[in-house]
Amino acid sequence: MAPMVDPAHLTDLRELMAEDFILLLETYLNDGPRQLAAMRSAFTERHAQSLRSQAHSLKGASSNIGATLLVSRLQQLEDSALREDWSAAGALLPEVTADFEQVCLELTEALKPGV
Amino acid sequence: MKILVAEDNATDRLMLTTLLRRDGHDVDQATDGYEAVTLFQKGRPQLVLLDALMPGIDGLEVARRIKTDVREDFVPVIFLTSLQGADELARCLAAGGDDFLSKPYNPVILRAKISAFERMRQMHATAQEQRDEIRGHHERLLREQDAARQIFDRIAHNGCVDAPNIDYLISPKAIFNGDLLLASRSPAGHMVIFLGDFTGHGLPASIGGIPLAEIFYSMVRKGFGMRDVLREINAKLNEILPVGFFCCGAMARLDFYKAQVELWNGGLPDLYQIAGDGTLHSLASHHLPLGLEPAARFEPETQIRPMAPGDRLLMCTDGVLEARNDRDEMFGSDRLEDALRMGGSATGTLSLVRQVLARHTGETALDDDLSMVEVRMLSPSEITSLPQAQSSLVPAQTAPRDWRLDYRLANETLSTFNPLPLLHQVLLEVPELRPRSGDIFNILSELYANALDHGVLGLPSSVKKSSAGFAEYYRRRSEALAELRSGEIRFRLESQFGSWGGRLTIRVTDSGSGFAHGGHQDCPADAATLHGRGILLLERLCDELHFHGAGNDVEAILRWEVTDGAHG
Repeated sequence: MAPMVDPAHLTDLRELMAEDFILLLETYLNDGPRQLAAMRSAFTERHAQSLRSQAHSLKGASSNIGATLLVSRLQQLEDSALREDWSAAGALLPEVTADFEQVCLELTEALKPGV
Repeated sequence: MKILVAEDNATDRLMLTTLLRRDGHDVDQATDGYEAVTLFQKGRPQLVLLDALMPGIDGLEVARRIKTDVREDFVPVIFLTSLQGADELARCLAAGGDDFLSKPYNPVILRAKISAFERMRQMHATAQEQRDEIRGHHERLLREQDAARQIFDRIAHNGCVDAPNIDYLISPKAIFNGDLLLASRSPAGHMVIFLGDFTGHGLPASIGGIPLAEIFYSMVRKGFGMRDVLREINAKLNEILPVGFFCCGAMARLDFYKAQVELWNGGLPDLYQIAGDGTLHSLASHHLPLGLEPAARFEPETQIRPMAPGDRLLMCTDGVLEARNDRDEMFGSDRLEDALRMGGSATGTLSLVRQVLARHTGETALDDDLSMVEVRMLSPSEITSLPQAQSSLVPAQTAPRDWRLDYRLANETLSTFNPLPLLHQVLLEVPELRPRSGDIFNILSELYANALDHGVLGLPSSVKKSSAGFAEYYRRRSEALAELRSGEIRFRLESQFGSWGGRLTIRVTDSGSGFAHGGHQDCPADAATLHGRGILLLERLCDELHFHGAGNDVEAILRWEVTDGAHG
């Protein structure tokens, strides 16, 4: 399976952020689950504005991490929230969750010393 | 630079903050819209990076509040967005956004944008500083002009411009225009008016007006004739004005007692004398403007004409003739003359000209400074309503009251020099004579005119019998003056003073052969002829009037009573 996070992007990011690289990934890893939880409760409460805003936010962060596929899934989720298309949103949410978990695994791997 | 980052997701916030701090910027971080507004007001950042979609108030609203808050200052707002739609982007711009930065962040683009906006911000700040500086300069200039205007008005409006027989229109293009209107009574009770139009506008054009006004007022009040005043003004302006600057002007002296006017026009449009029946007489300019010719070459020729009470004299600057309508046609002298012929009504011609002119120009702005003055000849009975000539003398406790002065003028001096202001000043040193300053000047000038015109020059007064003869008389007079080589006029002035009172004797003798005076056979007292007024006037003004010899030796006596203060 192809990696969810573009390795070349990650290399650039490591260079760019230097000593803050670890902090950046940790921030993403801590913040992401909170945003996913917020998206799920917004979906349950049929709160389109909140769902869209959270998806948009995680999409921005994911694009800076280099998680391209997750970005496009979050874009679809954002669009469906905007349209208040709850069935599409309901179908997208588990996919986003799965993709996010995969991204997290890869980032955790990248954080290991010597990688 | 101080930068505010407003971004709800921690990853992006951290990334931006890290990149900006590494470039040396001072960064504040806000996690939602409310915090963004609060931190903006508290920290006053110079640039804002703003996420469009945020919990609480969104980025668009934050941008609107910031832009309202900063008013005229320039604080760039860059939207952080991965928004795709053109509508969304347009809404960001409408809310006050200046640019976009898309995700994922590219550090090269981020740096380029920040430095571009930094340059723009500095340019804006410089422009604002300069604008404030200009505004400050402008305000100071206005204050200075206001103060200068007050000084100028105090000098220029020192006279009797507001007399009831004067109507004028001065339309200023700025605080100052190059136009100048002066009017003053002379010691003899005449009214002298000057209308001037300096080349150019504004301060340079009005500065020359100050010495001009000072010369005018001080000389007219001392009783100098128009030619002397004009000569002095020309010499002063020639001395002080830079090359290319001069003053077009016209002067008129209204003699209410003799119902005549003396005119001079140097570069102004034609002067008009308007009779009650609408008949116009114009006087074109035959002289160069003031200040152009060196003093030695400047020879002002004046014209003296009869002017009946009620007749009006109109002077205007070229701005009147050059006022254009919306078809770019000038007002011109034909339109002006048509308006003047319709005049002579009770409202005065000036208001009529004003109306016609306003109809001509309509809404179009006036091209030039535009000034007009109209002065009405009064009958002797009306002149009591006029303001008196102001005397510049201060009362002296230790005044001369007992003295005698023998003053003899001879030969060419008679054709060039006017002794009246000097002798008048000497007489006014006697405090008791000051209240009769005007009478004394008239006595001196009548005695002198008789001695010079009829005595030394031998001109017969009968020439002046008709209005047409007037011009002829003055033509012959100026010829005779130019040819004068020998002759003599002697003034003997004596002031006597004692417990019985005071007495001034003015005795004027000339080298002529005398003239008809006894009983005034040629000029009955009830006749309204022009030529007899000299002697009738003298008899009215003096306490005693004696003719000696052939009439070329005249003695006028004025008496005054002793007051307590006079002994001090």
